[in-house]
Amino acid sequence: MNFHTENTYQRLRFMRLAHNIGNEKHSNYHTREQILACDEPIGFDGVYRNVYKNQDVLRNKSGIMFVMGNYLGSNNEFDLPNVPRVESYCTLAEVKELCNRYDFEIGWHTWSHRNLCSLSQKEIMQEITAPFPTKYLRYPHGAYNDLVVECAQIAGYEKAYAVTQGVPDDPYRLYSNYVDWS
Amino acid sequence: MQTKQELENWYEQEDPWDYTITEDDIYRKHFYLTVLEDLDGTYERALDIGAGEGFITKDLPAKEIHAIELSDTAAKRLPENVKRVSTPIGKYDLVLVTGLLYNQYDHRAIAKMATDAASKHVCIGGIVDWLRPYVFGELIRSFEFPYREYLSAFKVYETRP
Repeated sequence: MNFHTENTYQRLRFMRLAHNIGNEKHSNYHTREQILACDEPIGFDGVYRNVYKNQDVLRNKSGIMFVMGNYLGSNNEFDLPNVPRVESYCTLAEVKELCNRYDFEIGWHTWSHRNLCSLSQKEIMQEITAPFPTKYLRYPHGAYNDLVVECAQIAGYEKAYAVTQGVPDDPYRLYSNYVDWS
Repeated sequence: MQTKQELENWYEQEDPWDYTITEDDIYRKHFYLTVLEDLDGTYERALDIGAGEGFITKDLPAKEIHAIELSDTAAKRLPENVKRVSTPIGKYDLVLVTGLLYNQYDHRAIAKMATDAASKHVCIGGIVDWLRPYVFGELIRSFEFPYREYLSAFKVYETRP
């Protein structure tokens, strides 16, 4: 199933954010129950293998799987000590499998997850150029500035998501918040 | 047009374009390989036309990899998993031509060779302002990204049966 209905597309103006599915007490983790209880589209950043392993909770959910090119099939060691433990990421084939099986599309979360606001225009364009067709970009750390937004537009994205720095209804500065957070 | 001797002279120095130590080239290679991973994952037979020393060739996702390289000096540095051939041997489900469809090379012969050898995907890479406008079938992927002081393109064509 693909979620290209107008309703779902409009709903993607706001998305909940999740990373891991697990029981760790950390903002990067949500339990299966929290994901199941979420009735809004979810953007999974990573995408972690524990999402793949818990994929049954994605049934009847919609959203976007935001992958990072440098870490496909690898792990989040680069993000230590911001994360409580090392977790593996899905391969590209696994993410595509999830998108084919459930109501999710693939999005881009840059190659390296560097803060785009600290980069030159050339570096930003390299980072945000995805190696597959996609309409959706998630800014690393949710961080953007005018130059980053301009680059996202030049790169042809239809929507670009921040986190809580974002604003509603601006397609290149979209607000998102964590699953189960108000 | 660049002569064979000029190419041999150029390759007297190992990695003359500094591909292995230049971030933009490491990025470019990673980009190509991820595009291929998204498209197919694994190919049966790959042919890299103008492979140089095999910077990209050696990591192509194929069970059998052939390389065409005019320079004997460069070809001596091809890694063991890459077999140098003087002309294509049969058909290849992946044909790669990067940085070669330019005026300084025999682009007509190269394009014909790629067309004749391909059974599925033809991948063309290079600097946008220098690339000659050849078409190899249906364009199924097209990317542009900054590369050194240029804009680089990577296009994938699906050959027509």
